[in-house]
Amino acid sequence: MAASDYKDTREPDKVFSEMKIVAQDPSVTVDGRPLMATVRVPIDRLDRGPRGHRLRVIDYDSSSSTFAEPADIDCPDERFPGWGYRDPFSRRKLSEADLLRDDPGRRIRCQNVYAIAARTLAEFEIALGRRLPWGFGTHELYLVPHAFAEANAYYSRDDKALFFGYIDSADGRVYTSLSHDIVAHETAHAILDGLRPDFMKPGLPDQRGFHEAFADIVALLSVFSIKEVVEELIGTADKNGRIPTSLVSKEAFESNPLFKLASQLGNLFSDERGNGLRRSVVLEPGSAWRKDPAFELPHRRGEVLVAAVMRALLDIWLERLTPLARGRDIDRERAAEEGAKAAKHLLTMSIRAIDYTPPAEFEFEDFIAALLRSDREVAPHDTYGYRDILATSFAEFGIRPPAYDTLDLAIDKPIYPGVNFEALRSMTDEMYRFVWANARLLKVDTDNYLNVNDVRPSIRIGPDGLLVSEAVATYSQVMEATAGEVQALSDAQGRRIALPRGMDLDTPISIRGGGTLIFDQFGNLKYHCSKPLFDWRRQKKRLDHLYTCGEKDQYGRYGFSSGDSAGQAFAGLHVPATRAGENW
Amino acid sequence: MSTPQPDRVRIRMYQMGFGDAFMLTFEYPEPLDDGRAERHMLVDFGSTRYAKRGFDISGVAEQIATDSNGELDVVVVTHRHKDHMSGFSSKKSGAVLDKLHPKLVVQSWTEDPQAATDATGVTRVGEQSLRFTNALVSAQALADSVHHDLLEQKKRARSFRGISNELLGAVEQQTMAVIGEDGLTNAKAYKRLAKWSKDGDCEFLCYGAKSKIPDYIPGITVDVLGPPTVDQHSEVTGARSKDKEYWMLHGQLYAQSKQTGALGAAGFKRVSKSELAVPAGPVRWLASKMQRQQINNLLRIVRELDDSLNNTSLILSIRAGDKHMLLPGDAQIENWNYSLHASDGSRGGLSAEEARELLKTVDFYKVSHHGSRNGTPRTLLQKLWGDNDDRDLVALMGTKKKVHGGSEQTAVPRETLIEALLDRTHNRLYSTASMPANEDAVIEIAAKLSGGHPFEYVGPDDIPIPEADPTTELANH
Repeated sequence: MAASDYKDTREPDKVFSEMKIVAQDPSVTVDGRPLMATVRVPIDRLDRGPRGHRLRVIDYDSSSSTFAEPADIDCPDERFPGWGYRDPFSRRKLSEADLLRDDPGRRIRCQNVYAIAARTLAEFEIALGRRLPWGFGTHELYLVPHAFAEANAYYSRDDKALFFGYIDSADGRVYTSLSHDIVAHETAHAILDGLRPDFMKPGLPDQRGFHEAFADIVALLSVFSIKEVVEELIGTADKNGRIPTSLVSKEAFESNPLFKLASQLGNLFSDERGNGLRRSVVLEPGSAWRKDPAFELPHRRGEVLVAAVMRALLDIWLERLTPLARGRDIDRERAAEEGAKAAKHLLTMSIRAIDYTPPAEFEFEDFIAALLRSDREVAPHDTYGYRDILATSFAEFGIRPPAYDTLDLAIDKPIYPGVNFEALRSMTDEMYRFVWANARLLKVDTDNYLNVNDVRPSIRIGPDGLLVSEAVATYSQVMEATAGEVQALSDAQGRRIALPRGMDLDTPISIRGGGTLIFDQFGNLKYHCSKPLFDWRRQKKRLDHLYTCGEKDQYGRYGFSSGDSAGQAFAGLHVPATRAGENW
Repeated sequence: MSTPQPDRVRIRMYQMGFGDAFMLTFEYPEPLDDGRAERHMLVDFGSTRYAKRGFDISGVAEQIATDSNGELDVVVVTHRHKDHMSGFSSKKSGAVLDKLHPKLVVQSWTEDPQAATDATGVTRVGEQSLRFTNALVSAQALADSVHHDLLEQKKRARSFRGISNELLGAVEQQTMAVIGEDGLTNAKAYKRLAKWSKDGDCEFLCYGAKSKIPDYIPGITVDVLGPPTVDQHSEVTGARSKDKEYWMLHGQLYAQSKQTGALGAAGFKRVSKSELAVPAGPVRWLASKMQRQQINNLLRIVRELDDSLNNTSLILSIRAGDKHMLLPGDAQIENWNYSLHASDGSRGGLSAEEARELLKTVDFYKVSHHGSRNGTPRTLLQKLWGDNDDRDLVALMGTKKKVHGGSEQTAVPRETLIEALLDRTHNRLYSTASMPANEDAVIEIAAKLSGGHPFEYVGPDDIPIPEADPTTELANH
């Protein structure tokens, strides 16, 4: 048999399918047509929906209570039914009307949510080097592209779903499922919830803000990492494919749609969402936001983080462009490529950082610390200076890596009595053995609830080209007591906290703590990011915040749950910014 | 001849349960042209939940007639919610008021009948504002429909599957507040107001507008600090409800849901036709979960409308002699924001800076929106008034406990606000919720308008101060 005849019949040929998506949203057009992009989606056996093994599009509309049967899909590979998706729209020029009509619009919207969600999930899995679980424990996340008639889209852990609403305005119908930003944003919420489930528990103001910010960062960088989109949006090139350098200046970028949410949705969502994206590059650096009550609201607070990352992206991009800019013009394709590269790199960095964040009691400082630390592991030399630029950009907003109350591992050597390294990398009980043995060193309190939540292997390629295998574990701590008891305890420890004015001494409260432990390939602890249960400065800050926002459950308890109805935790996240800091 | 100046003001708050009715009486040292030495201004007159069973609203109307000596100079209706205007629609109480021949009817720009039909006749109400007033009409049609169904459902006394009674109560309250007892848009009340306007005079005010009130109550200064028109300040509408289409779509979908029995999941039937139309298995599981959330979504939508209407409230600053009175109706943050932060003065009226300076000098505050969490901005209470703690401040609040608020967060009145108000007023916050429910119960405060005398408490004998939580003191000592 000739070599050229060889065919491996055990597996499909490809590792990805191509799907056409709306590049940003239908209002972003080129030559009068919505700008579309073709993206690569990891191969899967696809069923009608589309539906793969992690994502399933269900076209049910609860406002009109109608269910639309999924369209048949074309999978031409006869040997492997379902593999080898053929995109019905790949060669078709689509008009805005096509996207909005029932036929073929409905199918496009289904494909759009599937492709963007699948692509986002893949981005995370590649960056972290492992499969990622959903926050609800089962395998399939439902994607509902026409969920209800409301200018809203949200992730619901209880329903295992992402819901995308639609509304009618004087300018016609608007579908959130056609917005790349929104689909990527909601997918990121779902993935982050799987990685850090406790971030939805009542915490410090930064914590919910981070959910918003992270989702925005993922959404923006994900649009940005499609080279074709960047190219189109930079500006029109001349016949040599070149554009004036003025188009790639800081000022030009600040008003470029790339750095903001497209106007169509921007107007409708004016206050609730998208402003993080829209204001990201124009938000003035400084620490004023910390004192501004408007920034108590999750999405306003999130803007600060988005701004820090997007300004860093801008700086990195501009720096990469400097050697390319010859005189008055610049090659558009190269310029776009540099932007897409920088965005992709920042996206990977941001995702990797999640493993290095604490599992609870998150503050923005933890993110920059995690970004710098996790990146140092894979790229010790930082050739392009990404870390410096990021650190500077965050510092401009008053966010600096905290001096964790961590160990100097050279001095404080943990002990591993009877700990099996192999088991340590995969079993929470073995990890608990380690934590128990080193409780005093790790400053973990063993009198209250202490649990190792998970232990995950993480594999990536190190700077020497060899595999770096790590184990990442998180543990959490909870103490439930009355406000009076907590105050007495802080007093006994010499750091008496003042309770929020008006809080009853008998009010039940729940305080939290936790940490992240990272072990190297030999099973040695190399990093401990800790949020001690009895950090009274932090606990006071959290209690004040919860009390001011009235974030208590139906029994009037603080810190237990947010008190949202099932499935509604994210639904009201985008409340109008105008209310910020003025409510009682 | 110089304008006569009043030398005393009396402020009466009537027991309306959950609702507002205030009368400001200005007394003059000498009789005015018509021989009377006083002028009366009624601000709102309505209730959604009386203080006790068998309460007769016409009794309050009689009281108003007595207190005004049979003549009302100005009637202000801050906004179109029932708890501010039901007294005008009731046949008996309305008839009593008719005899008082109100001379000037003051309403918000959103109520201008011309605004809905002909924008050109109305100054400052531009296209966006017009769109908004149209949207409100569609929105109320939806709220009416939801309200009607909830009442029907209640009659059938079936529980709503998967929805707490608390939440349901909240929806009911939201919709109740929006629509009048007599139907869609408090039609009877409007008819009465229109007649008074025709027989007398009327005006529809927006931020910065010049009011005619001083023509009827000489010697006082009136500044309109809200509501801004949509063209002045687009935030005022709330973000999502600017378009008529939005509400019409919801109306259609709601009607459709009822037909397919989709609301069945919310209690009308066990398994709805629409659920059966969905294949059994995970798809039906998800569909039924989504249906159950529909009522949450509906609640959010109706709440948006409720907020939008509250934000059409007139905010009147009235100065007489050395006293300054602030009457904001049910204004919420979005309405306040224009005067507190957003106005640059270029679209009429004071700039935010000037407005803040003016607001610092308030002596009397009518607590906005019955003490809800977003009626009184922290900027106002903590910054503007908190920084001038030595200045005397008195507040009146018309409210009733356990009417609104399915949850702690939406409870009215809001505990933390009450505490802050008690703190700032040095316990001079008087609430109808702390008053015996007698029909003739009236809380009255009064002040001389010169010489820097503070407002004095007049009656009733049992001083209706809301109780501060006794544990509060303990916790802070």
